Amino acid sequence: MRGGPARWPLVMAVILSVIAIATLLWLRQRIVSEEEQFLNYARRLYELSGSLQRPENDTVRFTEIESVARSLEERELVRQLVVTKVSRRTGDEHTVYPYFLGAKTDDWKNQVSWRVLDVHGGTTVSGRLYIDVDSSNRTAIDTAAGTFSLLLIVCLGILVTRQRGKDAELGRVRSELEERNVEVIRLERLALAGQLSANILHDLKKPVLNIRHEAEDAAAHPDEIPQDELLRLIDEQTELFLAMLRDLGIEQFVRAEDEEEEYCDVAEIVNRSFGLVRYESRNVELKNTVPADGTIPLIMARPHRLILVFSNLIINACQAMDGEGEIRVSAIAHGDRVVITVRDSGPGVPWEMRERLFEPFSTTRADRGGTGLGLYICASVVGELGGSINIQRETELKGAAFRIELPAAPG
Amino acid sequence: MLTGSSLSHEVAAFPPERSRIIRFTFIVIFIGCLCSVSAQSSRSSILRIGYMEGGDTASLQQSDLESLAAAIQEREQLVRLMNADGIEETGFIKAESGRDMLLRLNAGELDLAFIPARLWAQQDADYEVILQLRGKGSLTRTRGQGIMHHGVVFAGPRSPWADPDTAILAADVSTWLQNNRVAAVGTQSMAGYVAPMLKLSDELQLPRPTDEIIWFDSSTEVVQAVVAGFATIGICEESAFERIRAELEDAVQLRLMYRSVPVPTDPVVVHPRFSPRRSETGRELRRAMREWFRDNRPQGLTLETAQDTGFVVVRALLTRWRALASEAN
Repeated sequence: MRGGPARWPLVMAVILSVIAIATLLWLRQRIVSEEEQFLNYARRLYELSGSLQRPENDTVRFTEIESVARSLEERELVRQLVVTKVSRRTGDEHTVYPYFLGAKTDDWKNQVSWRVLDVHGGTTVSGRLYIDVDSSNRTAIDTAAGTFSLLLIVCLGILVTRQRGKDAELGRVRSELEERNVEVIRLERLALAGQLSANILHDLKKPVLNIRHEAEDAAAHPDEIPQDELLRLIDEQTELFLAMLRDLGIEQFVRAEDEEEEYCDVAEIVNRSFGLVRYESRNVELKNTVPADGTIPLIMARPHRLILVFSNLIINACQAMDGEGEIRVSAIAHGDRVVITVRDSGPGVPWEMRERLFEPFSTTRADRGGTGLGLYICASVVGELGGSINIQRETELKGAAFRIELPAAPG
Repeated sequence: MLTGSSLSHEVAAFPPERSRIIRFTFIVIFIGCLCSVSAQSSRSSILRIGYMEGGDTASLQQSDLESLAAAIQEREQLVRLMNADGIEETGFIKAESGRDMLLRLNAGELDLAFIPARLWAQQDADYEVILQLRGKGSLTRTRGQGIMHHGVVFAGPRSPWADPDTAILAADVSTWLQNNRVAAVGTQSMAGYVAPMLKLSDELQLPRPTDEIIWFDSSTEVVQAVVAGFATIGICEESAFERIRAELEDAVQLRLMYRSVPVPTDPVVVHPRFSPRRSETGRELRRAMREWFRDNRPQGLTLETAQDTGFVVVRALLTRWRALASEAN
């Protein structure tokens, strides 16, 4: 242990001191009890002998008194014994054992710390016993108990002082940890800000890159690409870019206010989402199996918000498959709701992560630049529409399967 | 008086009927005599020794007397003599008071007794002094009167006369005694009470010097009581006073005020039938007791040979005592 002797000797000393003090106190109590019993016995002995209670003319039987006194003095407890008789006539107190004590010494009462016992004769005090009790045993026990108490106090003091030192050390470490935590949080926030910026730039890049690729294709093959198709694509991508700019910032980004809700066809939205991610999914087989025959109810939503949901899910799947594999989007009507499933043939999502998958910054691709915001944005948008999103065990493509449930538009 | 032989001659001269009647009468008389002798013998089969507490010299204990009885039974000659006198055992009778002892003496109940000297002078059963107790302390051996001792009147540490320089003036003492108590041993004691009280009366010219008396069982307790402060003046036998004064040395002031005339120590008396002058058993008994006391010294006591003549002074003192009492009343 750091900064002093080991703790267990002190604890042992405390325990032994407590045991010793308890034992000594028990012994002391016994001695005191024996003393009291003896004193009571001495008084009763004189009362029963009647040697101090001769009523006639204050006569004193010195021989009897001395005999009883000597029997008491044989006890180890008695260091000195003085017997007095109270005169019935004058009320004066005379020493009768030793009979000469009062004549020899006036202040004999002050020379010793006497235990004084009244001996009663009837209702009055006929005499008194002054006993100098040998308290050497009690004194020895008191001394020993005092010593052990001192040892106990010292040991407890050391233990308490050391505990306080440790508490102070713990407090200091905790304070340092808290400071470091604050620093870590600050750094994490900075990192998050950087990641957010990267994510925004990533999203903003998508329509711009699409326009650029279309323009490059049109320049390389001017006869193969119809002018109207090119212009529509540019207009759509520009519109998406502008929408993104309007929504700059996470909250605004996921809750655009100025776009009007409209009836959205799920099959069309999926196709448009495929178009938006065509360059990320160049080597991926995209399959839209959503029926376009009107069996799937329309959904009341802002179209770009839905496109954002599907494009995020598709890009996530592409990245999970390292750009190669199959992505299949299907939909069914389920009562007044529409259930859309996005499946891929990637490695899938670890099952233990499904609870935290839609939380912000939760990602399985942190080492490959994943921000952990894509699925959070998806869940937020779906939630705004009154729907739900979750991940399910995939059996068809053996990868991941996201199940989106949205309310069908009324009518 | 008729003798046995003449009676038988007379009987032979009577006719047969009358002879039988006379013979029967003599047989009845003879049986009656035998019964009488037997009754006398059984009444005297125990040697009765009396004693009491509160004597001048010391108090013998029952255990002391039992040892003495055992020693007596071991002396073959004495046992033989006692058996010849019809005595087979030794018993003890403890008198509860001087009066009780006196009654027993006057009734002749005791064969031998340890008594205060005063009781010998008061008894009228002719008990004879054969021995007297001798303790330690101030004793005077007088020619023809045996061992004598004195009584004293002494001043305790709380009296004005504790200071040796204070003169003992009769008037002062008399005044002091009006208001202060005196400690004394029982009235049976000649040396402890009667003799010193007579001395005090003589000195103060008062028939009754004080009525404020605290009574104690022994002279030793009288001195202890005065030292302890229960009384300021004490009256007791001299040897007890001297012994305690020596024990206390100079720590406590005790001062002798008056010393009485000498009086005999307590006697051992015997019933007249055991008088050594007439009885071989009495003489052997006296010898046995002296030797046993010499060898064992119970309570520090020995026995000295004594006679009635040494105790005549007791009678004289008692006569004066009674006269003073009459004068005081």
